Amino acid sequence: MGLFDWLYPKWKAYPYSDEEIRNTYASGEPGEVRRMENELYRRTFAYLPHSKETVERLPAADDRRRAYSNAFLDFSMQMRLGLFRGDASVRTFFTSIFEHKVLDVLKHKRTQTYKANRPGAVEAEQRLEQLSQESRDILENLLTREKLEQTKAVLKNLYAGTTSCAELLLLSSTGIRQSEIADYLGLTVGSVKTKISDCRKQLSAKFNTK
Amino acid sequence: MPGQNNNSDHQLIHRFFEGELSEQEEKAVDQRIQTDPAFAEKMAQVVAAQRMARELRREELDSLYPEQPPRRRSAPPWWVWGLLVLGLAAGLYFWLATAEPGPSGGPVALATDLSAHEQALKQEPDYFDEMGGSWKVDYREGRYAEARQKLNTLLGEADELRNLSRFCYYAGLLNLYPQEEPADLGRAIRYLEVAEPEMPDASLYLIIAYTKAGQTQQARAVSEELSERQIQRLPLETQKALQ
Repeated sequence: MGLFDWLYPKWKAYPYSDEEIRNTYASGEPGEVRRMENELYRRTFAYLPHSKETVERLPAADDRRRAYSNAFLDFSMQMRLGLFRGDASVRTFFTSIFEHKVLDVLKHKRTQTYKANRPGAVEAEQRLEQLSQESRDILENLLTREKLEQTKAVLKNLYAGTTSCAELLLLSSTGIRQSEIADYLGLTVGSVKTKISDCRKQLSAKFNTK
Repeated sequence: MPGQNNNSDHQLIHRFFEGELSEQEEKAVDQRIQTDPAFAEKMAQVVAAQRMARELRREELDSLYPEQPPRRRSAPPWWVWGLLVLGLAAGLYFWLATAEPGPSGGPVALATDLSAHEQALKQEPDYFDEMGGSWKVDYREGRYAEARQKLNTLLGEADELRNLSRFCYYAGLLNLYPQEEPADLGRAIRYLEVAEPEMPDASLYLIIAYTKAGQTQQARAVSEELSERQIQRLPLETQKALQ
């Protein structure tokens, strides 16, 4: 503990050591993980979107915010699933993810191309690349703002058993193997598959009855 | 047909997103999207769910987004410094007000008159507590006349004063600085001479007693054993008498 830490502990910019971060993720305790993530997001890594270098590359505040949030979401998923091996510090690990997200935003702004370059595009969505351009356009046209908002509203309260569908789909959307999701959630692979499928069916049923 | 196909469609879409389909099956999915609006709708639903799952968490994070960079922890705010400075000042004041002077400080004047008794109690509380006798209660509570009388009686009955040097120190003080009666310098000198080897301050009070009694030679003889610093603790009139 530093000289002034006892005087103003709540101002500590880096309150979690790398070991504490890893242990908290490994504990799988949702409340603790969420509390720590909020702290990491609000303080620990928050210098990145405000750094001189980032501001020069992404002058628009919204772009920086988006790159930062997307980076954090990826970071969160990878940490939860134990994909961080500790070759570098957690801070360095996050910085490299953030750098990629900044590049995604820049690339997207230049090309305005579909999907893979979309800032925050997720792995599972990249599966759509296997489809023809015509099919992708059909799907994009179906994904109206209204539909997305409705889906979001339904998803908030959707559970497969006691597991939040939003969390399950978030995990599955990152392209991480189901065996790893199963490990993290303490379920079998079969159970993860069933739950994800159940979530999608519930969602579909909600819209069919509307 | 759509109801019957519901499960198999879900399975197909699920396997598509898990990357479990063969190339041929993927082509079939591609065809279905273009020819079967209900199937396309289901596919869109899955994509929407994935995007929105991420969006939900992003919204949550966005609400926490720091619009300003975090504060550096290396510089505490002004009030922390202010408190530290105040604390140090208060500590220094308290130390100066209560601490005994160190070797580098000036000598503290010897307490005289009745304050000599208060000082004697504060200075050596353990020394005082180790003695016996009812005179102690009187002495502690400031009834110096009673304490003097009891102590003089106690020491007067003693065969050998050398074993009672602690008692002699207080008896010497009480006879040098009694509460109301005139000082009994004879007793004071006798007792302080016994206490002198054990109590450093006893030498100083003995010098005072000698000078008050007009025994300047004896006072000078005792003072020669003391350092200049100790001599400076004596009242000015005593110091003058020694010159």
